[in-house]
Amino acid sequence: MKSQPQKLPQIASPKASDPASTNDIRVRHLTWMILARALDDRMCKLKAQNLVPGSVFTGRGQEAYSAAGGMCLRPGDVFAPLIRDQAGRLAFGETIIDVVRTCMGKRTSSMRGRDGNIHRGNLDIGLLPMISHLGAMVSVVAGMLMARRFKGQLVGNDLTVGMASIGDGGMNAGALHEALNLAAVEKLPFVLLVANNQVAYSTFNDRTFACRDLVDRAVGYGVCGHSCDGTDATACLTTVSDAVARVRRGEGPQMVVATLLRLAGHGLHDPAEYVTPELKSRFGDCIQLDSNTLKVQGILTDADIERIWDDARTRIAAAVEQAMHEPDPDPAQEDWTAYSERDLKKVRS
Amino acid sequence: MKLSVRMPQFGESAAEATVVAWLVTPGAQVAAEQELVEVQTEKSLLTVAAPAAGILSEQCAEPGRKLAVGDVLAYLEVAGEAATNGSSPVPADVHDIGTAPKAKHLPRPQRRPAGDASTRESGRAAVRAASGESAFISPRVRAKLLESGLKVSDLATIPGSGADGRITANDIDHYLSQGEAMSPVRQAVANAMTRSWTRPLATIARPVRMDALLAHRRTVEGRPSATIYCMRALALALKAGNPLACRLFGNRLLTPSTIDLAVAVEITDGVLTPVVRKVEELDLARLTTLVEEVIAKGRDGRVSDAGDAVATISNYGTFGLTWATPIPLPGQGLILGIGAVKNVPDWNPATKSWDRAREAELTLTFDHRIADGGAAGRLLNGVGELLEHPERM
Amino acid sequence: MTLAYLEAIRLALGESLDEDPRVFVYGQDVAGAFGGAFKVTKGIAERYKDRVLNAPISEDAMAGVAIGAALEGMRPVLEYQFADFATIAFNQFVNHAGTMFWRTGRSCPIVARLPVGGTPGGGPFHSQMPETWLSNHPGLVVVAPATVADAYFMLKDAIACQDPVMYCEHKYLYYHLKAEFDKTRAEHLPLGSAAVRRPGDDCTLISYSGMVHECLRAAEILDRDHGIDCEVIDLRCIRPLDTETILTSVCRTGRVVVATESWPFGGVAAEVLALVSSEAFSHLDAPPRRLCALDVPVPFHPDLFAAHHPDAERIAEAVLETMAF
Repeated sequence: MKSQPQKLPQIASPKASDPASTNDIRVRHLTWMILARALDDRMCKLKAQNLVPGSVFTGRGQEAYSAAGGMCLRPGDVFAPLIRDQAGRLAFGETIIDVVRTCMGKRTSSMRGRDGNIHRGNLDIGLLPMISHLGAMVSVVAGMLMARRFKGQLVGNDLTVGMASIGDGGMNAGALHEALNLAAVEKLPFVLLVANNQVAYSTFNDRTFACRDLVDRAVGYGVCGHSCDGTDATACLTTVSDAVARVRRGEGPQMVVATLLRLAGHGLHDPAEYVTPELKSRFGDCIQLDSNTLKVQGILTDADIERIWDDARTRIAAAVEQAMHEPDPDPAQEDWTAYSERDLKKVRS
Repeated sequence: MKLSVRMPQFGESAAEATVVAWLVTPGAQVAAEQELVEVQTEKSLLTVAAPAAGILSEQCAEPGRKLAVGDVLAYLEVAGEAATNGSSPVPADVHDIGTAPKAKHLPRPQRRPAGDASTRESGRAAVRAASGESAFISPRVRAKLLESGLKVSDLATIPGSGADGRITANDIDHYLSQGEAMSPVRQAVANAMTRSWTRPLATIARPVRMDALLAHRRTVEGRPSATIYCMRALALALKAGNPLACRLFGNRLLTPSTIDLAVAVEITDGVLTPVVRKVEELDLARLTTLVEEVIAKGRDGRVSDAGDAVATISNYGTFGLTWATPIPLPGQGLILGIGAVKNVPDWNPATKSWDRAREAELTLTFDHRIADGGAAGRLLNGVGELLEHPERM
Repeated sequence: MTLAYLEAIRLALGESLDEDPRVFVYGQDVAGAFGGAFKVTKGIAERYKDRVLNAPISEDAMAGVAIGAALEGMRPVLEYQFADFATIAFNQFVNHAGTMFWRTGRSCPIVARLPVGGTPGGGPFHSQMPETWLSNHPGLVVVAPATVADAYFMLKDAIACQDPVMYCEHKYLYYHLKAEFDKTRAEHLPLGSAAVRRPGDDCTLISYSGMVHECLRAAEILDRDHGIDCEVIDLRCIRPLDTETILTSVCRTGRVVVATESWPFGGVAAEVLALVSSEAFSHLDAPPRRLCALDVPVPFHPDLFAAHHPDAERIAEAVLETMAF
């Protein structure tokens, strides 16, 4: 099986006043959510089979919000996802096979086994390979947008967009503060997607920030703030596409804060017993909720939804089958240099 | 008393500043901290203030003049007591604080030997402790011993210039520099002999009666020497067929089509081995002339490598030696030597008395890989018989 | 023409902006007529209003911007007001720029200009030498020019380099070091190579940045007063290190003293001595020796400051001790 480039949905047209009204887009949104969930599930199984080095980090519960972000971007845009953005990555253009290869650390993966799991990326399509330090990617996105401005590419009212993800934990990192302020100073076409999933690893909101709502910070940075229910797929699509549309029109940086719950541990190694049943009872699962809505509204049947799941699992199984037979990196063949200049003495201005 | 006002160090990088304008005229009374003069650095316009109250007695730089940090801008005349402050006297140049440091006037800081002793460790003490008080030999000295062939015991004769009489690498260099450098020729001989010595060599010998030869040489033009007779005899003996008439390369025995022989000639600082070609085709007279020619060429330094000859003749008898084991050149399988002629008693059965006979020792050193004692013995006997019957040559 | 070290940096920066539209300068207070804390961009900032930009006091985000811009094909030159403040950007330098090529195969050609080194009155946070921390991490090129010509050529070469370059410029040399400079005639040494600033036979003196000048002075004192002939090596480039020049010299002299303005523990001097001890062991006739700053933060008072780091006299003493071994 060759890795198939996935089509990027085109939904965030500035003219579409209510993109979610298009049933087709809503179905595609659910499809990305299910593909991401199925992929996360399969990676967890691969870990249990000892086929994946390192831990596995899933985006369970955050698919609707993340996928909305990826779907609102288009080729040429820049996306800096974080660890819970499997859905957004896929919607932006990441291939299933690269996810599997990178988690397995295969030589064929985009990171060639030198880095793995959620640190993967593809700079050729503007998908940044994150480093683990929260907030660090935001200034890099700002730099890419500034470079485009230097090159005269940021003109008109249909700008390319830079998008970065952050959570309720990362919102308190100094790097995030520096970068968001800088993006606002430079009036860059930038969207920050904040997923308030209630818990930074095991620390809850009451020990991570003291403001009423994270969106209140937007005004302090001089960016436009938006809020949505992160378990409501339609709300996510509507809010994110509105924010992205504003950015494309040249209205400057936007911040979206979605409220949701991480429906898993920090990583597969974390049973997350600290999440109380009471807290769990306050949040639904975006995939179940959206599936029900689409059924109730007569847009999809149970059989349709089952087919989406089957299709996702089939494609993932094929990718796993392929990746398993691909070579691991070979220490004897590895090019052990951290420098792109082979001979610094040959560098000449 | 007079107090100087110096250009302060404005900012971390400033080296100098330019005087822009004086704010106080000479002779004017100034208060402590009163602004005296405006100066321009690379970065900004700043003012310099009076370090103490007094009278501005002198302006030392007109506007536009560039002064280095620490240079005197002006002098103040201050009252005697203004220069002191309670018990501790104010430094004469209060503005020295903030100017470039004068480290050499400062006492050396006592560096406390903290956890990281390496900053001030005495390597010598550490090494000596480890070597149990015996004379320390540095790695470089040890390497020099290996390279030069000196032994540790030789160090006792070398004076050491290092701490506690340690012998340094320079001491060894100096010691060796007192000797004379090997000449290039000497070094070439040394190398050749060393290479040759890696082979299994064996020496055989027999005496040879010289009476007939010594009589015969008077009848030949040029009166050939024993060397010439040996060359001719060896050439004929090899030509007659012998396993040693060849040269060994790897595991291949190559037999040359002609018998080319080298002759060992002493020069000032070594030995030359010029080659005579096709010795088997040359009679004694002709050979005498040719050998004289190649020796002359050799002495003039105009001779090339002798390696392609099949053997060499060494007449060590010319030094009065009666017996020796010369070493074949690398690439040659044998060397024939002849000792000095000596008188020996010879029993004459006819007269029942001892007559005088003349005899020399003939030695043959050969590469034992090429042939064994039998073949070498037959060759040496062949040569001996020819020398004892020179008319056959 | 006579050029100060700082003017050489300015010249190189101005020419780079002239010659290459990909180059931009980003840092605190660099823009406009002000021209930066040390006036490096004075004059050129006004010529390139759109490519010499002020950054908020966000040392980390500045570095992130440079990385992002470099990925998009630009050649960013960051100006940090003091190398001390660039510690804020350490994460972006070592974890992002330094890992980029290894992780992704994509080059990250950024230049961070770091004003390093002590000056009297600078104190603990305006005087530090960052080259040890930065050179420990693979992926970063770390250079420390000590001459006017190097200040010029190494900055231009740093901008041409595909890898992230930490350009450590010594604040004390800014205006104190002046030299005749003609770029068409001056020696343009390549990055990655050390320079023998003074040939000698008796003892190798190794340093870089401002300390090179103390070593040269020490060599003069030793020659004049003791007849000791020191070879002075200017490392120029800390990472990668020119091991060949170091070993060639030490193998000849058999004695080595390394002098740095930075701290001793695990420092550049330690690295050089480790190299010499393992690779040139049999050539050593005396224990290799290092002379570093005292193992405390950089002090404020000029007298304390002067005592804190090696100077020519102390270096000369160390050489005398080494020679006396």
